[in-house]
Amino acid sequence: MASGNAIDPMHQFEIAKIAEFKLFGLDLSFTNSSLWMVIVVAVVSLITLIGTSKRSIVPGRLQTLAEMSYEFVANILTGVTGKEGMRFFPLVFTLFMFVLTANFLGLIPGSFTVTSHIIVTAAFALLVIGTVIVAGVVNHGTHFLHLFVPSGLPALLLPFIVLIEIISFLSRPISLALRLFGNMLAGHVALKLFGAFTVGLLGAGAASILAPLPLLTAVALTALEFLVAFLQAYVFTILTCVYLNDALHPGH
Amino acid sequence: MREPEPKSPATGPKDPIAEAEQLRLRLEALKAGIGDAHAAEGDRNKARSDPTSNGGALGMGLRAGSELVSGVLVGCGIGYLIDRQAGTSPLFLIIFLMMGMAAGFWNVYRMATRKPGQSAKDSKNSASGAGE
Repeated sequence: MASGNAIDPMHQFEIAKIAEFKLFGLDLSFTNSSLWMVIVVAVVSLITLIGTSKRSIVPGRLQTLAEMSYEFVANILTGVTGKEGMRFFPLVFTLFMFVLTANFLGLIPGSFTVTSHIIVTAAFALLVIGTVIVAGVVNHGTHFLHLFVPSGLPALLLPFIVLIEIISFLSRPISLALRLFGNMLAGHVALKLFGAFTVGLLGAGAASILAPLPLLTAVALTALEFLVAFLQAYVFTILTCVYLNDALHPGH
Repeated sequence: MREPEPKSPATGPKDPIAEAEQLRLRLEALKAGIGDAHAAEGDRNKARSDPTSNGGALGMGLRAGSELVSGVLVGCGIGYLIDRQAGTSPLFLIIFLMMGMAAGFWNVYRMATRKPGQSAKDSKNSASGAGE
């Protein structure tokens, strides 16, 4: 029976300390999350550094990968913000590569998904929105506030629209963080549940004939999760570009 | 190659001025060729980015859902904080909840009216134009 080994789909998200480390009363321990972040950074660095080290005219596999990711992000960025947006390319490219690699590495069985913790995605979202605000104020000064005041509105509607615009601006980092976190969390929980369901059915006597059904679902879900892993990194990147566009060209 | 070269190559490579002119013309032609190639590539990218709607549509759907939720969340948060400070519970919570829902719908509406290649400025213009 499945009740023998309790299904605990949240176990995979638990933070475990690998090395205790305290500094000024802050807990800065090296956890499994930190370990996987280091792995993600190492993988991204390897792809980009080794991929671009040869600079052959006919690119090899790694070089193709590095060039494709560069062009992909550069196309999104210039498509949304125009040429001047390339100033933010390092930020956008770093975010895209980190999120994408973290999502994909999280799909390895037994690994830890860095982006399934809201504190990580919220830190990214706050970084993006902080950059937008700083860049907007530096580039346009108080004109940046025109973002909240659309032109050509009757005076009667103006206070409501301004309030709504402010709320919608504040909701940006929240939706950015929640979307990535929620998709990764939900996907991994669903995978775990169907996996555990298969095992549970196998031990359920005559009902074990049905065991292949959740197994098939788990296989299909894995494919879907690969799509979602890429899609979420893509959506995160394109939204970062859209918000940066507001910092570069606020309102009218 | 777009224009016939004014000086025939028959004047020979002996003449340095003619040769320089010929090279210049060739350079211009090559530059034009590169420009055409770039433009063609841009068009192809455009054409390719439109059918990304397969993945893009799923992304848009996921975006729309989270925009609605986050608008309501932010509205609730602001209303709750004002209520807690002013002790007017639940007046501002209700007001800002509705504001948050409106902001969520406004975001989704703006997202839907924004074409992929269009800059945010244009779509804002068209959005406010449609609202009038």
